[in-house]
Amino acid sequence: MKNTTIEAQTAIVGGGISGALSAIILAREGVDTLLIRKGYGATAMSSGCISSAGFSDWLALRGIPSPSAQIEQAFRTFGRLMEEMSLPFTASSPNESAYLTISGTKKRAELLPFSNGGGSLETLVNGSTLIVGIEGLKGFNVSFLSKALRHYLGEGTSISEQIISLPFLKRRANFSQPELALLLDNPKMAGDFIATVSAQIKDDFTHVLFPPILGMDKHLLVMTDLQLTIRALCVEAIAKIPSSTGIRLQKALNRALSQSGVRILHGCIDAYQQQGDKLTSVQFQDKAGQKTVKADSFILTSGSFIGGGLSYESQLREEVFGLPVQVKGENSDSAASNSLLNEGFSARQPLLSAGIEVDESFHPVDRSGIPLWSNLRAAGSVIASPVDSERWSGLGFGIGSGYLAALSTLSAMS
Amino acid sequence: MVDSYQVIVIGGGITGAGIARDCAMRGLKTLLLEKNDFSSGTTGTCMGMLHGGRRYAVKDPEITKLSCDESGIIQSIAPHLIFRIPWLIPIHQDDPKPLEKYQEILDRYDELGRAKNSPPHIFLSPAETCEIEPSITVPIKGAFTRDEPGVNVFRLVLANIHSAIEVGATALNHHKTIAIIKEGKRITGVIAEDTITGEKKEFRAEIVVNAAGPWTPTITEMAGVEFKLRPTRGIHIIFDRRLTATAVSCASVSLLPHESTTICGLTDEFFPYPPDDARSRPDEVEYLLASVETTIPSIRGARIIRTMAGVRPIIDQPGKDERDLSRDYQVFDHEERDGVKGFVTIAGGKMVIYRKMAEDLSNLVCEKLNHPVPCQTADIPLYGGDYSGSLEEKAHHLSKQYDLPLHTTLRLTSRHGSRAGDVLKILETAPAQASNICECEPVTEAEIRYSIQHEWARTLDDLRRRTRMGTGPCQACHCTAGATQILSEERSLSLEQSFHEMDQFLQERWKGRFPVLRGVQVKQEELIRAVYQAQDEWE
Repeated sequence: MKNTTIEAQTAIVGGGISGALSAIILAREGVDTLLIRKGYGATAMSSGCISSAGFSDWLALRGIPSPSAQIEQAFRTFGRLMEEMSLPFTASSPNESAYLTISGTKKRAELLPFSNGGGSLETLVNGSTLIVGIEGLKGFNVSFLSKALRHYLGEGTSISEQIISLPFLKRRANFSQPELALLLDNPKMAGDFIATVSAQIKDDFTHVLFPPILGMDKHLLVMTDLQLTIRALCVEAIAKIPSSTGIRLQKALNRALSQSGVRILHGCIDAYQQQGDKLTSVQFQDKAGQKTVKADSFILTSGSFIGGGLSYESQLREEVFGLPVQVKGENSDSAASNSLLNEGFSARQPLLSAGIEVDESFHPVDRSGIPLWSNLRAAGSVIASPVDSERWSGLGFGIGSGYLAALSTLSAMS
Repeated sequence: MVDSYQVIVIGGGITGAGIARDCAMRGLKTLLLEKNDFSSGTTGTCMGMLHGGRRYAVKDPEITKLSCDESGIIQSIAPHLIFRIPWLIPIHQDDPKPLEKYQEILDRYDELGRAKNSPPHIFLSPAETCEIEPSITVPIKGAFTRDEPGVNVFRLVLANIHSAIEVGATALNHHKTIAIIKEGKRITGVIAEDTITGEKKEFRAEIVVNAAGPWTPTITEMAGVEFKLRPTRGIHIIFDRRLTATAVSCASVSLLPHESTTICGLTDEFFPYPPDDARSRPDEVEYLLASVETTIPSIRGARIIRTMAGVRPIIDQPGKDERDLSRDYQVFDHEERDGVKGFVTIAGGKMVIYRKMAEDLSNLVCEKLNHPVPCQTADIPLYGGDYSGSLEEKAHHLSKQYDLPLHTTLRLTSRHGSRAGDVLKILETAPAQASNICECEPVTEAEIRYSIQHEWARTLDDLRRRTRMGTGPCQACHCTAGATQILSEERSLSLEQSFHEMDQFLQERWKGRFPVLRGVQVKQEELIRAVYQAQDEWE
């Protein structure tokens, strides 16, 4: 086993949406950036729909001037990046538009993957919609979704259902959505799929609603071909776990990372070194031996529980640096464990909003509000949420805080 | 028009279901009413063991003997629902009690328990014990073995109800008895409310049987009769998988591999409150973990997925300690006791002797109705238990016939026995119904639909009891949406009603999760909330 030391200007811990976005921004500004990750987390499981609600609440509570301008800049940066990566997003107004999820619920967001973005309920109401299901595909119940659409759009709206059998599927049951999306990356299967769909669509529809299965890496291509053949607006219902749209988003971020020249290392940090008020290096083991990453600045974007940034056994813990964890402004060790959770499922659950606290430059702070290290910043859902978890919208918070943490790192360098 | 019966049984736990089957088999026109779902009360929170109760072998040998005899009968009438639980009783090095003392009790237990079909106990050296159960890492003198049969109690209740209905009974779940009709000194019927539709119905009967378990006093009160129980509450914690090869006695609690999980229990505490309010407390969870830790120190690292709490309907014996109260049962004739005609109560008892309890109660009913037909419940197989050959063969056959994973058909046959083929018939015309709705168990769409159409599942929680859907480590993260959509279709629910059903189920599952939420399970909780809460709306 050998010890390797790697140097970088900035090292980022975590490769979800906040870590990837801040790494890409820094790298594109010419900063030598390195990203350490241990696998996929919440970003790859998400619906890919991005809402600013949680981040805007967070900024407002901190008295930050012109929060909406900051959010707009962050979202615009993210939008341009995804456009470049062949995963365009559609802007929407949450006050005006809502979209159907595969659970039959409605969702509102500012940015939606373009495959979702064309299908707002407000546009469906004046058209005629066909819902297409696939025999053997799980988690997409055509008759239930048709019931939901009828409920939202009113009885008079034209809604049709069609379940198609795909000739290339040998099994007749138990297909998951990401599995089918991956199959449609194969041009032959995509061709068969499009031919089968178009052969079975007899009438004219303005919209055809599909499960979120329209390709993975070749998503844009599959969507384009489908659209050209069917001559109706093809949209996907918003995904739930396991989510093709979340995986597409994570993969687009991965492409952007490598195209921006960010070096990526895989490992789980188990030690760190500090000097004075600075963090100097982090360490982890991989197959080749021990790796030490030295950097001038660090950004912690390790996520909450799913991502592995936080854990809760008998106490709440921040996993990488052991930073103090807060629950709704309270210190977690003073909050009695029975006040962390409530008996009502949909009541507020403080445990799930827990995280670390940061100052206005995104430096993690100790109990008295003093930054722990002058060159460590944090972004994404490792940060404590002051609002209910369902208002949090991790993707939107990841983009906003990742963007601002990167800017803060940049300005400290100049 | 008012529906008339000879017998109305209130309470759809194992006792009520057993009585309904017994009365119906004797040719009585019988109605079973359950306020929530069949086996949703005390029965649904028991450990599922068909044992004699080793701790009663000396102080209550008659109950032990009866339990073992009845265990043998259930094994023969419902073989598909039975599984074997090998058991270790490790004796700690510093245990002051001489081995002979244990030996004596176990000899007695073996003697009383012949009908239970279990091999007699043996004593294992520390090395042998370690070979069988390496997680026992504390110093021991050795371990005694025992061998107990286990049963799927939810399916045992359903099998009784299916059998009752085959011979003409009617069974209604989600029908809460809200009044007892009394004419002078005679009970002549009940008024029940369908708790899902809100509809109130009147049912008449010659005899009303109160088999309401811990809710017994609520029913007697409606009849104007005073009745007192000494209810005790017991809790269990449930781990995500089978942690040990055998069940292990640890201090005074047990760690028991059960289906795809491990159950740890139990506690015993006086509970003079409404049975619906039974919950687990953190200190009780700690007590159970600390007890297991004395024998299996690694238990703290295991993943707890939930807790459950239930209330035992124990007959009051003033002056006795909770653990010393007899598990014996008693049949009360309120005509004799209180001068109220047409009303009988059964209280106390244990799951394993339900059949005998039902027999005694039905004997009284027959005597009162002057209907001299003998009990047949011990000789005729329960629904699904009428087959020859092995279940494994049946599962292999179904797996080939419908191109299903063997794991799926093995689990299916363990629930449905000889009727497993009925569940899968739909796959001939709708092959996509072979998709799993619940991944942890696994449960197919075909079985979910069958449960709704043929097994009176009206809510998601009903489906959970019948199929084990939502009981695995993901704790209903992946099945809830799919099952809601099927239920919505089968019951023609509106969107509001569908999401209401879903919310109820999410709340019910959360009730058991939150007292023990920690570790890996917190990640799972985030996932569940990402699926069911994340900024979605449906109005």
